[in-house]
Amino acid sequence: MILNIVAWIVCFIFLLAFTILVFSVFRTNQTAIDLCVFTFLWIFNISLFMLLLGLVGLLQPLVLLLVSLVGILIIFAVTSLRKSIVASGTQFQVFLRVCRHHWRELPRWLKTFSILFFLIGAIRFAFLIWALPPFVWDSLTYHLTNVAEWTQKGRIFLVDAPVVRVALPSNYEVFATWFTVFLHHDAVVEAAGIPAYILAFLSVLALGRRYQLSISASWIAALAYISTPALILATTGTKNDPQMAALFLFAVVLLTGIIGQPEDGAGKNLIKQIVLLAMVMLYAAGTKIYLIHLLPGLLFIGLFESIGPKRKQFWRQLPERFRVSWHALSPTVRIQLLSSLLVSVFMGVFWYVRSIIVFHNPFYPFGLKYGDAVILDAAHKAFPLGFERLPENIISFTQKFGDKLYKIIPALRDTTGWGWFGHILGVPATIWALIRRKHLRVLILGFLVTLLALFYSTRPSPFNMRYVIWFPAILALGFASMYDRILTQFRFERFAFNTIFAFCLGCNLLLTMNYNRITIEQFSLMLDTAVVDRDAAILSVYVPDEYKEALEIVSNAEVLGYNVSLDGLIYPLYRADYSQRIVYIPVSGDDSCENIAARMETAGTKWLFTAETMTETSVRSNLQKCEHAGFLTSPRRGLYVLLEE
Amino acid sequence: MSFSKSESKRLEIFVMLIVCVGFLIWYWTPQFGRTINYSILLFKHWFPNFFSFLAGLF
Repeated sequence: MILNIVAWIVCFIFLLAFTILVFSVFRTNQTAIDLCVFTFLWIFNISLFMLLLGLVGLLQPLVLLLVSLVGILIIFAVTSLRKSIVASGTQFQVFLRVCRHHWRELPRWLKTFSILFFLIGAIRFAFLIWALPPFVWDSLTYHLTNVAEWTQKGRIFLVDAPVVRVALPSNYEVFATWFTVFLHHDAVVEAAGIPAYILAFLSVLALGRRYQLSISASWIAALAYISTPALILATTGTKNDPQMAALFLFAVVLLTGIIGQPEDGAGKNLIKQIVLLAMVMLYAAGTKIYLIHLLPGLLFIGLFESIGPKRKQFWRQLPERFRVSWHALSPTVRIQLLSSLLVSVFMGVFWYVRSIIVFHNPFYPFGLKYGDAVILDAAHKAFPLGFERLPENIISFTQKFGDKLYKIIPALRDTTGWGWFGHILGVPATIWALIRRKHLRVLILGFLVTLLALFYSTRPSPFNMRYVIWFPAILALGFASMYDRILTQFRFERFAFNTIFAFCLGCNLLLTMNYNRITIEQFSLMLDTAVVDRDAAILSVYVPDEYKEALEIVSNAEVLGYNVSLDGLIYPLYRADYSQRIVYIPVSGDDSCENIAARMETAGTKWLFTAETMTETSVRSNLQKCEHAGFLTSPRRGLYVLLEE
Repeated sequence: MSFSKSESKRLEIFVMLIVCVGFLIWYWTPQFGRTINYSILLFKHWFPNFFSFLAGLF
């Protein structure tokens, strides 16, 4: 284990050094944006590293250690690379000075409040990651099933599972594998959402600065956004929604930067910024298909920001700016940009090409419908296009607004999850900003267009606000823009708004301390269990008892066959240390017992796991029939053993 | 009656403050009850568990 941790540290150092090198190409010298760029590149490089090595079957801690050592040697052997790393030390010192300067500009109450907020937030994250195994439904069905298989087998491949969503684009899962492959355990896998949480914070901060908000107001916006219950709960929920939210917000930062560059005097960076934007979009495309839903809003912002009264020359000047920008790049930088673009294309389209080759549908298992006409067949669900969904989703949204129907849980059932700040300060201030702050109007409308685009083509569902966790960012910026209007001499108003702001953020934190889903008994049970044994099967939030019972009987030296439905939980069967090998045994209600037995033998298992709420009734009836016929026996509810002939 | 620029700004902000307080009252139920319940839960159970977790580390 110690060697594995050493491997993780060395690998981290190598990827940090590599990210510093790539960062030197994309640096903008604007503090908030540079922080976003660095965080994004770090996430991107880890994912790329894991994907490349995973595809060739080298996801083993020792192999990763060797590759990283070779990488570090190369970086320090090549003079230009070594100089670049050494120079980054000086740049980092300058950067720290700038950060310190900005920090000093914040009012004292905000500094104290921020320290408390980050401290409590960090302790909360650390405790929940440490104390609980993953428990969110979608994670246990397909996100972490991929992570478990890849960690166990040491390679990235298309997992054979009844939950067909394992075939969806999986950049997030590749990134999450970084948190499991070295420890060969899921103890810290929930931390995979934290880098996206940080990127989301930085992106809102950068967006505030981009729209000429003061440092205090931008900071307030960023703090307010990351206090959103929907975001906090999803961050350690091992799902890809926070990553998508962060990427969307960062894409808005880059897009508005590209349009606004002549005023920023950074025209020579145009091509670099365009390449970076392409990298973000492609990485997001390889993370979740619903990037398509987010595109209309981005196009809206791009188009209307570029034809605004101050940007009349934008399109006319664009070719010239592009030409100047291209000539300003050295041949080495051009090659670096081209390589970055190529690897991004790979990360973005790889999953879709795989789906086209294997399933003849790039969006497999999703299909596409327009009215009653099927455009693409669905193995799981079809995305409906057509205006009939829009009013339904808007009505559903109005019911969820106010978070009154249900408590806020990670799945966001019947709530927006926007919490205290979003509703109390965010919504009224954003309506005010829409009317009173002309320069923010396009941005606010762009977010609304994105929201409508999502409502246009998403199935109405109690859970669909999970796709909208980027929206409270505009509520936070709306409030920040209003906050900037409260002059320092308006002492009472400032005090009142500061108090409500601190109260709302405090309540948001209190509301999200334990996911609102875990009972005290479950907490106590997990804390009484040794960390290495905290299997997802033990935490019975969604997981039925059959899982725990099966793992008590079947040894991890044996292969465990299983059969669950299209939306069944698979991940808990792997155990926390991924020591349980499992195999899917397809069974239908009509299969003969001989066929079932033959399939189990071919798969190399004598065990067949089912669960009452997870396996189709017809399959369970068929297996009971085989039990009575003497082919199988059942030592525990739902668990079958093949009888020797 | 006319307002100076600063006064009208202040009035605008004051109106917004009243609106936000209105939203606060509207959002209060049932969220405040829920939040308080979670807080009680937190102080009764989460903290003792957290300290036992810290003690376990050392």
